[in-house]
Amino acid sequence: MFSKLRRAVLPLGILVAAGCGGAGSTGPKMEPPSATARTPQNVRLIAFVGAASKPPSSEARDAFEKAHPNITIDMTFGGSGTLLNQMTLEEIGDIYMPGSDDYMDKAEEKQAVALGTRKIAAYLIPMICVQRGNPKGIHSLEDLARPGIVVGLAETGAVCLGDVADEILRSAGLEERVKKNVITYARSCDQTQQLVQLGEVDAVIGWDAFKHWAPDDIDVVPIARQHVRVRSIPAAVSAYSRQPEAAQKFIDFLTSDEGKAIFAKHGYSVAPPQT
Amino acid sequence: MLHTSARRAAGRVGAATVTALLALPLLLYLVAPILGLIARTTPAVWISYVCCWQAVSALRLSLLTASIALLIVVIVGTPVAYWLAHHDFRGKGVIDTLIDLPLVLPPVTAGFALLLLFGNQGIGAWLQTHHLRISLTPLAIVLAQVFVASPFYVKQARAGFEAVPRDLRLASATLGAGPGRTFLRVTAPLASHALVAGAVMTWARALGEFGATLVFAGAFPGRTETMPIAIYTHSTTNLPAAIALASTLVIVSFAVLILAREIAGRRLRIALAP
Repeated sequence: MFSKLRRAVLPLGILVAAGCGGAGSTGPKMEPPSATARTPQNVRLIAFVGAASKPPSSEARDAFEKAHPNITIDMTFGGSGTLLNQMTLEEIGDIYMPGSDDYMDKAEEKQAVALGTRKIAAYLIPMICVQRGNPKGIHSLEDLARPGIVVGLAETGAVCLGDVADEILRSAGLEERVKKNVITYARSCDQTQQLVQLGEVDAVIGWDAFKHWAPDDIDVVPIARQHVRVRSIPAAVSAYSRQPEAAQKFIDFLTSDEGKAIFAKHGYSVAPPQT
Repeated sequence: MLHTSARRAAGRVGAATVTALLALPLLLYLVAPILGLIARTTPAVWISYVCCWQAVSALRLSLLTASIALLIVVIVGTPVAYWLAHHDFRGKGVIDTLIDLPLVLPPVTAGFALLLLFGNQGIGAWLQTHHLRISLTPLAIVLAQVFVASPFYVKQARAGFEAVPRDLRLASATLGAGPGRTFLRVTAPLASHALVAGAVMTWARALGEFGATLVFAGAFPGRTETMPIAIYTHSTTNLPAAIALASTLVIVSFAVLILAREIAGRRLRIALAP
């Protein structure tokens, strides 16, 4: 029986050893991604990044690391609120880059980021997102109030996009009429996008980047300029950073022409719109 | 006589058909969404997103951590199950309910609870002074999986131990076997079916763990990004990639579970053979 147990345990022991990642291992490394300087020259940073920014921020990280071989950035992705909680509870991290500026406001209130280090990587411009080809002929906010149009919105108070949609509809005086057509309130930006992408609703008020995330399924209709409320994707140095200079370097890179080009490639607006 | 037995056989076939028809709605309900998921994955999408190193790394990390979590659950869960099965004491109901708690606790809440305990706000600060960090590391994945998946094993194992006749254990003792030997030679083999079933469910639950892992271990690609987390991070901006990853996880899990049942079943048949 014991020899059988040994035979069962041995392969797992080997797996654990492999997972611990010795020198040259390409497998998952078990050591913590601690923000400690490996040498005075070599620096390892931790960035807490909103999940929606994963593609451009990962690409920007790769480009930055190529230009700065002594700096390595470990990125973790998730909901902006969860990331902020992880960062503050653990008192760890060098860069905070939430999905929208309201979470950065919260981070500043909590003193989780260093004041004065905040910079804007990209702008989020609200649009009416409809199914590809716009089969319901939705061309304005007024059309969202038409009988028979099925609308989805992000939840007010829980998602930044929900607050923005609320402001837009109030500005247009359509709050009551459009909300009669709303069948669901999404709990995140990506859920809002998926509502229209999967055909659950005819339209949502979303961000301009949604079109890039699902080009085969989504078309966007601009919102009248006077009602547009712009938000942004900011980045700031964490208050817990032990390498704030290196962290600031990466944030400066994100907002440089090269960094902006990467965000633009992924469908984000990198210049403030004329409103 | 022949006529009666033929009628009985026809009756059995009829009952089997009715039972199968009654089982069909649930089977279809369980299988149809999964088939739909797999059907939406085109080879081109699969090649683009799943064959990349990050997906392979996430799958490998999931398989590795779920297996380690299972090993830990078996080692620490078996004594708990045995204790609950064979001993009566005051507060047993409370212990029993405590073991069930992870089943009702939302996984994200479990993640925060683990983060508060093992993180900087809990014993994490002390651990870090001894050069050990748990939160936001692969170790946190394993601990999160152990937390959410252990009830599946403990409950099954307990039921298995309870089903072993007391007389057989007593007979073993009267023949001179100590408690350890009785457990290894009598109780464990007779409860093997339940132990294996619990282990399979625990492994499967650990493999699919998402909420607690995301909060407690983070989503560092190549380090703490398991398959469920990779599916989540991709679903935000690239739904086809997320669906391809999910299909892969379903297919790999199905293959491993079938293989585990087959191997375990064969071993059990050999072990229980007279």
